[in-house]
Amino acid sequence: MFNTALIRMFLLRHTKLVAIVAAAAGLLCLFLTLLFPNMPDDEAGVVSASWPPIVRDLFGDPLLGFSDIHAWLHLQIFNITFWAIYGVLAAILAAGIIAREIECKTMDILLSCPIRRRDVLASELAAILILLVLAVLPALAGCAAGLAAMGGEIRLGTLVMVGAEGVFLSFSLASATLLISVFVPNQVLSAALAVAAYGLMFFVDSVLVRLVSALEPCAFLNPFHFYNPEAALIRQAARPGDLIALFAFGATGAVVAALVFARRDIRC
Amino acid sequence: MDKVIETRGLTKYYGAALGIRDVDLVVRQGEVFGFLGPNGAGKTTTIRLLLGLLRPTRGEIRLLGQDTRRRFQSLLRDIGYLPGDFGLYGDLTGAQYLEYLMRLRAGRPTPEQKAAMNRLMRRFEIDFAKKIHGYSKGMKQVVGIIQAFMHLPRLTILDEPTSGLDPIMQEAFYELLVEETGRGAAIFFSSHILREVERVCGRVGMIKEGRLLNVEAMNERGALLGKKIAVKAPRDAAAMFQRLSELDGVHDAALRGGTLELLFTGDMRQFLRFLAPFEIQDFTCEPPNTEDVFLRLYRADRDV
Repeated sequence: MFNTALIRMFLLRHTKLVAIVAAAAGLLCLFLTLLFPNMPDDEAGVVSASWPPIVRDLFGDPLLGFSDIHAWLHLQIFNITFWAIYGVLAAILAAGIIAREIECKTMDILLSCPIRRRDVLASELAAILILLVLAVLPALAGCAAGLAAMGGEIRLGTLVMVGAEGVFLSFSLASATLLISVFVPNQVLSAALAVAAYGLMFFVDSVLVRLVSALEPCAFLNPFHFYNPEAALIRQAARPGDLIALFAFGATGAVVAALVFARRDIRC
Repeated sequence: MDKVIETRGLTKYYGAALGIRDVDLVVRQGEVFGFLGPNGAGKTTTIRLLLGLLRPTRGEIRLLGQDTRRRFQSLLRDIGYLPGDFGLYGDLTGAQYLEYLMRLRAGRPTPEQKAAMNRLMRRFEIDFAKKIHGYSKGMKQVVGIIQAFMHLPRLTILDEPTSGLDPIMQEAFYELLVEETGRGAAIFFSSHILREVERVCGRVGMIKEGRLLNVEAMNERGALLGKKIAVKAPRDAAAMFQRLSELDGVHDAALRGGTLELLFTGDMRQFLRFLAPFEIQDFTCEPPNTEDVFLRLYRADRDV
């Protein structure tokens, strides 16, 4: 199922891009953590009251965020920034599996090798997962360094947990990009459509589900329903089941993409 | 195992548009089989069907004696492929790319395969340590050719393989084909260049508008492609034209002024004997162009 030559080549060809993104994300996380205002509760309450409910739903309640550094991490980094950075990175990487190979006319030679199409997808998705794990480490290190500098408690287990949630959410976005690229073999378009779809799902999970109660029974169909960094960061109540659910989203997308791709004509 | 490619009723439609229809092909071990046709005739569609890149609408494909619907991936270990229009990973060097493909094609390459790759790299002297994005079209074509042969396949499918090669590289490539057939490998050689096919192929299949018109063996007289002949004989041209029926292999004869024009696929000695009694001012004999040959075959096929 996994071809080591394919995995190694994918890692080799994308290391530079991932290293740049990882280094930039690490610095950004450090910088954002250092911006912690450390307000007294009453001042934070005033700021919180001034925020409209919809903004609080989207970006998190500033009440805790301005007074608790772990809630600040959620507000500034893990609520949107973290998955947005790694989600876009995952989409770009995943668009390289099918769309770029077809656009650059390298797919024909690749598929003339004795490898099943599903093995190509599985191997390169595995490589993306490895790259994502490596890429989030500098961001988590940046958060930890920021926490240390600001005198906050460094909860390594919590950071690992939210990092893993971000990785698996981004992995599911990579699978979605892969699935779209089977039908739309264009790198930019497939990545943009997948990121836009995830942006919409984030909005649905953060706002619409709360406004339209009829959507609640279907909330579990949305990967963001299982992305809850605030549970780990603020309530210290991480749910490992969320990780499994997020991984399942990614795996399902990959399986569907592999099934469809196996039967598709590769046109020149 | 003699037949390396065998198709029966191979048909491909793209929606309502015809790709190829009822193509029956046989390519045997140790031969170079030419696959000739104008652009859009269905050559590339046929090749992509053979390699599993397209799914046939109907028909059967057997490669190396096995039905491709079963264990196709293991068959690909013994097949090489050079697409007509292909890309390479520009961020790798030529050597890195070839080593990568060798691992994909052969898993753990045998010493013979490694030696074959090194031999091919020496034969086509380009800078394999340079990144591919700095390669010319001809250098990329060389990398494409090497990857198609380096794992010592029993069948190699080539789509317009000499495109972009300079004459020296072309000669090296033709020598390679002789060596490959010498070790028993078969070559499926798709091209639209008649002279090239005439030079390297033992048999040739002609495809036009998705239909295989015929498959014929080449021979020394060029019986398949023939010669385009013009005989200028102002006084005798009409008499010659009337007696042409005495000759075998005359196609598309026409009288233009005092010049007789025709496509001849018969015995040239017999033709020269036929001309001897006439008073001839000028005689030209040249290879026909692709259109001439296809028009002839197409008309013959339509008449049938």
